[in-house]
Amino acid sequence: MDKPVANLAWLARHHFGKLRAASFVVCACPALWLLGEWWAEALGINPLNRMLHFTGRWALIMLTVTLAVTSVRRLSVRLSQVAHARYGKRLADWNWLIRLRRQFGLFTFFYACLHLAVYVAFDVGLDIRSIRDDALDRPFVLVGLAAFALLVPLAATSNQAAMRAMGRAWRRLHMLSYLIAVLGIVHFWLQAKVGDTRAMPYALVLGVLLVSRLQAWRRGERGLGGEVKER
Amino acid sequence: MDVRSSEITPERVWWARRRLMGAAVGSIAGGGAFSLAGAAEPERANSLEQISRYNNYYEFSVNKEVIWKLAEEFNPSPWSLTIEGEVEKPRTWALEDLLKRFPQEDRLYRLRCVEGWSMVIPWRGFPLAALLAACIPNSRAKFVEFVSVLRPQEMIGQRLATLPWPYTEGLRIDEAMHPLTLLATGLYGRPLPNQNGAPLRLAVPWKYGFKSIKAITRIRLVETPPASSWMRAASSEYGFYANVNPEVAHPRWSQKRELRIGETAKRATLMFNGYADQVASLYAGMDLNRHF
Repeated sequence: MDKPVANLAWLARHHFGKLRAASFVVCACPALWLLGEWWAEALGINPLNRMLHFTGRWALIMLTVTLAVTSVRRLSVRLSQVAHARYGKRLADWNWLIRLRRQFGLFTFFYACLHLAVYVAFDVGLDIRSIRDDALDRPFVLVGLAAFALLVPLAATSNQAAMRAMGRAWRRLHMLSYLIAVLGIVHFWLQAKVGDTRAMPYALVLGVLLVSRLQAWRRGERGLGGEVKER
Repeated sequence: MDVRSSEITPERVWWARRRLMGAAVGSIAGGGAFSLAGAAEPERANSLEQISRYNNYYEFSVNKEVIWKLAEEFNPSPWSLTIEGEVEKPRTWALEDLLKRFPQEDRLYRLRCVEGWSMVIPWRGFPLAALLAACIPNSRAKFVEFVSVLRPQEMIGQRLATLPWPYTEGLRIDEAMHPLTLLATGLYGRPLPNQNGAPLRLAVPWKYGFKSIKAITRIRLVETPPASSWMRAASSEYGFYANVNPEVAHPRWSQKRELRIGETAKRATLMFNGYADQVASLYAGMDLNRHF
């Protein structure tokens, strides 16, 4: 029986719906946490900053997770080849991960929407003129708005129908996610004051992911964006 | 130092007493003492919790919400303050002597942080002008330099080179002598909490908060403009004057609006933080875009 080692793969094959539902709940937890803080009036001395930073941080985390999927799968394939493990092939078959990627991407969009909503509702108080002033006065606001604008077409084309209709153009369009991640880091970095290094870990992880993708691209491994065929 | 009864006054009792006294002496107190000068409507002071749990004090950390805890390591007594430079009578005062010599008064001031948030704070203290006058500045005293304490053992933020330590700040002599410029020794009628700059700090309400240097050990009267720590760290972002000005943006923070702590939406920032009537004349004819 190979079930003990291949639990996740087995679960994904036979109960993908449950796996996706569980992942949905996990991804929604941060938002529920923030809602709880708001409800319990536990957002701290500066609730606006807490809400802005919390939603922005989670948008960036979800985007990083989304981008990590392909790299993690490549790494797992490589490890199974190196180790010649008996169940290596099964361990590397993380197709279920790629099938969750759309959910991660949509949660990125969800947290980015929350972030923008908090900004528009409380920071500028629904005043469009203030948004323009902000974008002109503060480069990081402009960068953030640009990142959000680029996220919109990706979210809009995340369904099966758009994927089929767009064909190769879909993949090219969705490579924008890397640009969005870079803009997100720049946005985070520019708003931080002297001595605030909280953007650093995000920048490091994104850097590693970018380098791994570029290396794979140079080696000609353009596949693995989709499912690995069963052999 | 004697324990004053005010040291054990809870915030609520303090307010009740303040209202009674305000009714009695409000008229003598005049500009900016009990009522907020320049305010269209009375503004409520922030709570002691808000004032003492949300601080910028890079000597401890850049994270505003942990300063109160880190500052427990700091020991502000005994304390002395040295006045030197271009004065007839340079002198070092013990804190107790300062408190005895200069009558303490309560002042409700707005504080506007350069980061875009603000509070209303009931300081206790005495005008810097009284102290400077006692030391008799000479004709070369055109600027005042303030130097904060250097104690990396007690202030862990000073072990990082975030800013040039010790923290320094500067004012023009007429700004320093302005009646609104306060040397604060307490808030809510009690001695200053460590995280708010114990035992002695500046409160210059029409300038961004970073000008109001904390834990002052040395005041030097000088002839040329002193460079502040912030000017040395980032001269393109922080100028000598740092007057609250909604028209001049900081690269990271638009200065048009501010979040009053305790509110959920931002409000418009006022020129000179709402103290234009008292201080605008100090800057008559100056290009405030250049002298930011």
